[in-house]
Amino acid sequence: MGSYLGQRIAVLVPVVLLVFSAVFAILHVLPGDPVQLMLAGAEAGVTTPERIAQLRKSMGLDLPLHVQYGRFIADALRGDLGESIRFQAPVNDLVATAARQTLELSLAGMVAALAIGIPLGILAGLHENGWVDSLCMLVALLGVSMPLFWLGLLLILFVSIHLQWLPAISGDQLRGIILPAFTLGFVSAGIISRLMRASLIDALRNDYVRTAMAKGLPRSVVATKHALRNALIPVITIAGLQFGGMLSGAVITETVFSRPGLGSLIVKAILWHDYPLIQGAVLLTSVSYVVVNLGIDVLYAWVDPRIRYA
Amino acid sequence: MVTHAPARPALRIAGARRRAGVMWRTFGRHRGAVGGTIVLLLWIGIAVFAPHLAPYDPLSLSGVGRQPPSAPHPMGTDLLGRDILSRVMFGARISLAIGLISVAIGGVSGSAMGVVAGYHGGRIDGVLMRIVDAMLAFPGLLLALMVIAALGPGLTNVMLAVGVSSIPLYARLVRGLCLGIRQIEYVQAAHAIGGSDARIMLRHVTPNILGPVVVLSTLQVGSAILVGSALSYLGMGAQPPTPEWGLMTSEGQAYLAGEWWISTFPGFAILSAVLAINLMGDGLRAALDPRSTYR
Repeated sequence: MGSYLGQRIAVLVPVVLLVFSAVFAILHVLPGDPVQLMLAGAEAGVTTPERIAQLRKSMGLDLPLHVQYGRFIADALRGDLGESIRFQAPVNDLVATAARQTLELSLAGMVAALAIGIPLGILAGLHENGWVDSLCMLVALLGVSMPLFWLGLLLILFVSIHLQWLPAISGDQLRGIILPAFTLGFVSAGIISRLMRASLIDALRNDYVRTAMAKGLPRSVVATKHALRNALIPVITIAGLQFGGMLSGAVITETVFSRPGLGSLIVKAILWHDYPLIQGAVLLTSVSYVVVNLGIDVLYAWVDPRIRYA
Repeated sequence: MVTHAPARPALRIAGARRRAGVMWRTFGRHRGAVGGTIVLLLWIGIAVFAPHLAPYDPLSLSGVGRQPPSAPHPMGTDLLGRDILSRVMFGARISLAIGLISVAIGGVSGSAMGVVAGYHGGRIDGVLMRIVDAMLAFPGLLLALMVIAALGPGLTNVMLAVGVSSIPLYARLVRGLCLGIRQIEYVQAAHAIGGSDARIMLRHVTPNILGPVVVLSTLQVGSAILVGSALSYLGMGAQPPTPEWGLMTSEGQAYLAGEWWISTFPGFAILSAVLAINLMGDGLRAALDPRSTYR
């Protein structure tokens, strides 16, 4: 297990270094003068040559490129992501607050995805090729074909405006997170239910299922106690991988429901040309995505020793 | 040898015909796939003939603003008084173009990377796959957002952004397929009798990877339309007054309570087009799967 972990982390080092370089490159391969762009977008004021020179110096943009690159990496490794131009505040603080919100939303989204996806997949798998199956799989296909922002708007229109059941803008209370969570979870629910169905159908064809049936157990008991438990294993893996992908869906969901978070922060930072903030937020998102995926792989290898030796 | 020569092409054609027949029947048996194809063809027709089909000019004011759906304006009018039906019809051109062009960008460059990595292996493979891993470290939309952050908003950059973000998918798929094909005996035999790399790739490798790549590309067109419209919704793609579906959805967002039609119809257009493509892709997957033996 130790050598497997070491091997996985060793592969990660060049990947993270490449990610750092790519994030550094967004600021430095820009056509035109990034400082002028930033000031026009982020401060929306008059750009005097003095202010440009001042910002250029404070960001270290007057130094040679390799020195800037070295500084960027060293600072990022020390956990210093610089200062936002728009907010005049450390990127670290802004990103940390936003990350908490996004984590909350992603967890709630995952719960929604599992709560919809697993029952849907089980229902489809138990009625293989029947009309229930077709209906469930149509819902699953809707999940992967749905523009998230439109689903969010429809939910606001029906659930918040017409029925007035749930708030459209999520404040601090728990009720506010239900609609965003459902929106975010619906795509993953589609993927999870398709896998759940396939995995259950596979499990139902096993010998131990036939044995259980032969000794006269009711079909419902065989399906839930014998087949389902084994069928859930691959579903849980995919659910873990989907969790990382939730970060991507959060960009849209947070914008639709005007929730603060990493996703909406990145969108705003791009629209404002606030490059230090873009760099910081993107770096944190992608590094945590990589770490989450690694965590899931390791967890899976720990559960299933066959993976380690493959 | 000479006497057998005419028989071989004929046999091959018969075999190919039989195979094509099996594919058609497998595809036709999927009712969803047939339905999806019909809807997609409809959208393509609308996109091609938009100037003849649309009742109004998509950019000019054709009535009072925020009018509900009625006979002269079946989908109502938007904030400024432009006909939404006409704008949705012209929007099909933009969304289908985003889908096709970005898939071409991602498919060609990703597949090229995959073939080089999978066929040559060794150090080239290692370097290319680390680059792919780094690209995969940015969850989906984030990679596209990075490209937009570097290049600025706009439709052309959206196509590039969506294309670039699909490169890792193709590179991984094609690399995996090539690794498998290299081991197949007839490819090794072709090497042994002195076939050139180019000839082997063209005659033996390409036909084997074409099916999965076609299936992935079909499904990718759908997801490219989704990502492209999402970028426009976020304000990073098409700019007003372009009749782009995602942008139109966001324009109506503030008026959702009173004027629901402004956002609803463009969003439904996205859903129907992407659903049609996904249904067709599922059918294609079944039809191109060499294990499908339905006759």
